[in-house]
Amino acid sequence: MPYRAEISRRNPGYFIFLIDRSASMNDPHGRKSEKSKAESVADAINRIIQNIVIQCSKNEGVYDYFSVSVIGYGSEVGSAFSGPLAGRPYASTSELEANPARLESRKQRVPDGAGGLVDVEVRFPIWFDAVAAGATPMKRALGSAYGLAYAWIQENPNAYPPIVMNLTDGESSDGDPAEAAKKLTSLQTSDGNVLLFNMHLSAEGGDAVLYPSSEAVLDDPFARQLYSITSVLPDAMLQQALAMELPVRQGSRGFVFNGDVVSAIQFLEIGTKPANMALR
Amino acid sequence: MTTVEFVVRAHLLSKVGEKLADCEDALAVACDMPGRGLRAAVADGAGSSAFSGYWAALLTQSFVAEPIRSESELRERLPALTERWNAHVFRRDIPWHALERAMRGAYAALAGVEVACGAPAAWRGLALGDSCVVHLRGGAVIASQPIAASDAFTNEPVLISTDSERNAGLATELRLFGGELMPGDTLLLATDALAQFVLAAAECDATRIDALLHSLEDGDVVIEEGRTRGDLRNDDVAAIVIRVS
Repeated sequence: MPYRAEISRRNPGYFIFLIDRSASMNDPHGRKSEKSKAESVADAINRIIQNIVIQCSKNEGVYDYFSVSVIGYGSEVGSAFSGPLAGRPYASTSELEANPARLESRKQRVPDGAGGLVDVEVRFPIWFDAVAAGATPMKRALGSAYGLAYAWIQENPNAYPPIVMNLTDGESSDGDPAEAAKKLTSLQTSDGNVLLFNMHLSAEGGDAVLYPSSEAVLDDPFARQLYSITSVLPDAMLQQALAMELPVRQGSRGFVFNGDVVSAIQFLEIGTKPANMALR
Repeated sequence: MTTVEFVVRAHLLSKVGEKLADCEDALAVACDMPGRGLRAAVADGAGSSAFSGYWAALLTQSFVAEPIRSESELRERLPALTERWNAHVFRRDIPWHALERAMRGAYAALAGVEVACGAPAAWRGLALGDSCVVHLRGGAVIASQPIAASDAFTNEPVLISTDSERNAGLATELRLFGGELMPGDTLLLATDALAQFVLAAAECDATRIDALLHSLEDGDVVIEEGRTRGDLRNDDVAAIVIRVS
């Protein structure tokens, strides 16, 4: 059975986030949003990386259960980490923990054990900043993910396969991405092929299409193109989506079209489900 | 007064490939005062929660210092333990990720027994979650609490939390039990992986239990062999074997 490999420090996992940084990402994320698409995606990516690191936290240390890449594509294609990790193609969870670009502080309340609450100051790490400029070279971004996934699989041939999550608000500007996507998802470990999930961000709002299992529900040619290059959700992610009361069924693909901020966060939570499973 | 002697052997092992310092199971034994008998406890800190090994250690130490005999006694004990856990965890220099995880609290299963002096020895116990107390006599399992069958272990046992709001399950899930120990009887306190392994062995071939327990009295080899064969999950192990001689 594929997608069952236990994730451990000997057999880690790998998340690759592909983030559209084209100029149109400066537009608001939905009609009611005060934030641009670029800003809401940056918030979501920072939160999901934070969650991955927290899942790897053991007492005061962080175990290297995962590597993470954040590849931006806009006026240029490449590593999108800010701060000490800038330019790094990937970082392990302990490197992420030790090297956020900055920590933002805020207060939170925790139980005191006697039914009351006490204030604790928490720090929210930032690794990735909002940038929006240039076109949408998705094909090159998928090619970049191929290179990273290929090299990682050589080192980890029996691990849970790399999971690639692509967030974009528009069509590829450097040609049909289908061939590059096919090449990427043809890579495999002994536990299965590389997974590619795609999320299209809405500027206008309107009805989102969530995790379809057939392209018949998609009218838009661009939506059909993205659907065609998207992987089917493995069972654990399908169960996660069901637990979140999302409209998924056997055969649902990791694909959201015309999604809002909430669906972007859900999309990332489902795609990073292996980080919430038992880590050995 | 007739007295009774106990042979006690304790085992604490981390998962294969991890250091003992990373072990989130804990155990404690006390037989420090004449006439007070023996107290022993094991606890299993949930790997998905923060500083759960420390929480497990606090629970076992508290039990052997003063046995807990009811749900209300357990509830009365918890605020002071949570205060100690908070003081240990919420320090100024705690890393951000550990703090975030700690905000979600710690959880642990607990099993403890107190055995009085005298022959036969009266004993009583408490268990919650999937840490078990198994009573063996004549080479057979005569009782196992709170789980009696190897296929009854789940991934979601009710556990004791540092957050009192999350302890509603204590009312229905806490098990209190006891009895008398005869010469030759054994009590095994074990966290889930070993408890499941022992119950499965008993279900498969009851005659194996005596040999298995004697092996446990001799050392950790039986645990290591079980892990190698895949019969025993690669999980932390805390176990205490108490044999009445």
